[in-house]
Amino acid sequence: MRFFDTDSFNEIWATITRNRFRSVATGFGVFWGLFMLIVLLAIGNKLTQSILSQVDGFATNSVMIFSGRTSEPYKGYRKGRSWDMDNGDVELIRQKATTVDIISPIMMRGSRSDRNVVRGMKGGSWSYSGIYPNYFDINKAKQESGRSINDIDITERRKVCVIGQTVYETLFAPGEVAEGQFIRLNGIYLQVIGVISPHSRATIGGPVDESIFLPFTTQQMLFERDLAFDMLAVTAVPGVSASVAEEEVKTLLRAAHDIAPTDTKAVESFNLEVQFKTIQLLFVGLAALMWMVGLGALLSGIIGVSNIMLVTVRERMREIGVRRALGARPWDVIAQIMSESFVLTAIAGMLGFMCGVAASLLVDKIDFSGGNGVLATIHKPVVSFDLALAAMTVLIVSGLVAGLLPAMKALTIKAIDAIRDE
Amino acid sequence: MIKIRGLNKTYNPGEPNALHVLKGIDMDIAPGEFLSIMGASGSGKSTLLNVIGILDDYDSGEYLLDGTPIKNLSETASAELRNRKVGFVFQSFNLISYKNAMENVALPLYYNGVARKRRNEMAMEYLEKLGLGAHAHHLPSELSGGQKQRVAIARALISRPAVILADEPTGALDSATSKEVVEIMREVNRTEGITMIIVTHETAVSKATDRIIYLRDGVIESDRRNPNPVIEF
Repeated sequence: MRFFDTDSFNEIWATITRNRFRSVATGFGVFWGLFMLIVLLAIGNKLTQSILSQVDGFATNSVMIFSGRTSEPYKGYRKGRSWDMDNGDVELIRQKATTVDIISPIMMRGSRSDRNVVRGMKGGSWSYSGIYPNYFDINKAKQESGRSINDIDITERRKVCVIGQTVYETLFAPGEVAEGQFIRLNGIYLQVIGVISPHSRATIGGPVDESIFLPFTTQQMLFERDLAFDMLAVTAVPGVSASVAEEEVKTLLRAAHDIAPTDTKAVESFNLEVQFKTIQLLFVGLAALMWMVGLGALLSGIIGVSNIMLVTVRERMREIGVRRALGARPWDVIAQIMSESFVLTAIAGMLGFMCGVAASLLVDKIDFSGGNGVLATIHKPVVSFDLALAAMTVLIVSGLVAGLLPAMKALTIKAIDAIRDE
Repeated sequence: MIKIRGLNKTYNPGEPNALHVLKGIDMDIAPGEFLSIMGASGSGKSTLLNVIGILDDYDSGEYLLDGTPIKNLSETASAELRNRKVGFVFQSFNLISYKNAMENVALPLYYNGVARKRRNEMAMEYLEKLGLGAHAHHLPSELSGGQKQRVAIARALISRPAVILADEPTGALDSATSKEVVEIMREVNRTEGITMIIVTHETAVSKATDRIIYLRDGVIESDRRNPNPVIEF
């Protein structure tokens, strides 16, 4: 059979439309299967994105390290001793650790008094953090105006600060330029250099909106008694698991602070990579489930096509026999049956695909995030090109598979049996 | 054109219900002959026709069609040989119901790889020859029995085969239409010079042919010339 012959198509079309109701009913199975597959995958995709967007902008290979209390006596110290990290530890890690990329000490302080931040008549209670510029490499923020904290701020211990959006809205009139203005934090004047808002929901400590950030060194100089700090954020170098970096840093800290190497409680940590992997596993499971259900629906549609094609072959035994007598080669017969099932599957599948995409666009409108407007910033098409390609591949393969059995059946028809008149 | 020597065919060989249908057939058919094969049912005439038409294989003996030995051919090879060398006319016409007369006639050329435009032109040409030009776009269901058989004859003719095999071509037709069909077959045989073998049990049909072969129980009982063919129904 020559597939690119108009008659081949006419013939396929004629046989499909000859029994219209049956073809439509059969095609519906495939239609529904592909429709379900696309919609389910779109929902899964959207759900995944919604959850991922919550941690977007947060370095997923990062680890937060906190100082806790020792749980074992060591080198003459009793257990239950509290300790602090200090600037020396940062230097130590920078020099010794091989798996650590970004090292960012953070000194976070809550609002100890009511109205710890004041500007003129306005004021409020907000927490504040002393940070290094690379803090924002780990936890991205949106720069609403002005600039971020830089290295010169750190070395010169400048009395500057970056304020969260809510802080800005509370202390300033709408539209007012904050940069260059002064606010008073715990009684000390700081010049505002920028306003930021959160990139995503995940943050270190409190909400970014309601925080004030100042250079780490400035904070140490102004508000702290010594060079201690309570939190250290590190990321692993590319290609290394965050857990490896975490262990390396912990080992260095234990050695530097006379903590027993076996003491697991003295150095506390929060490994974002581990959390992230758990979520990812969940997504993989979700996607697998969606594929399974979708493909299951499609499979039953395909079995329907295969079944009806078997019936058709049976009905057309004589016709196929006559064709054999007139010179149809085995390949011609296979190609005819296969292309019939293929065209039926393809048309129904395409319709299912298109309706599925249309329905997915509706799914896209559903907000799974719980009404947080921030998430609108992340927008990937719900039915990606990859997914469309995968769906088409599945469709083509299934169309051919559906025709395989009937084609084999048709091949067993001998001209001599089919055209026997008695 | 056709040379058959010691042809044997047994159904279900080696089993209790083995059936020896053709028992050493010898036959020579020259190009352009117009002959009939007669015999009661069970005489083996249909089997012989199937073997000649390369629809069925045989056990022993020799069969040459237009100089080509026909034995142990693959399905593909036999399909191609049938397409080029053999035309079939059946008792129940066996036209494809959803194709019009022209498309039915053109079908063998489709399997021969002839382009659509060309094969439809040729189909029209043959339909005109058989007086069916006006019915080219009718479906088989819109044609009378005689017209259907003429379409079938046109279909058998179109690939210009070495031989046309007609299996009870008048079996489903009344006598007036039978006469018409046999006349056409004679005419085609005369003008196109194509060898024509008609399997029939109707004496009236065989009387119209130049040579009559009688089969009985798988052997040729008689093979005689018919010097005065008459078409009488």
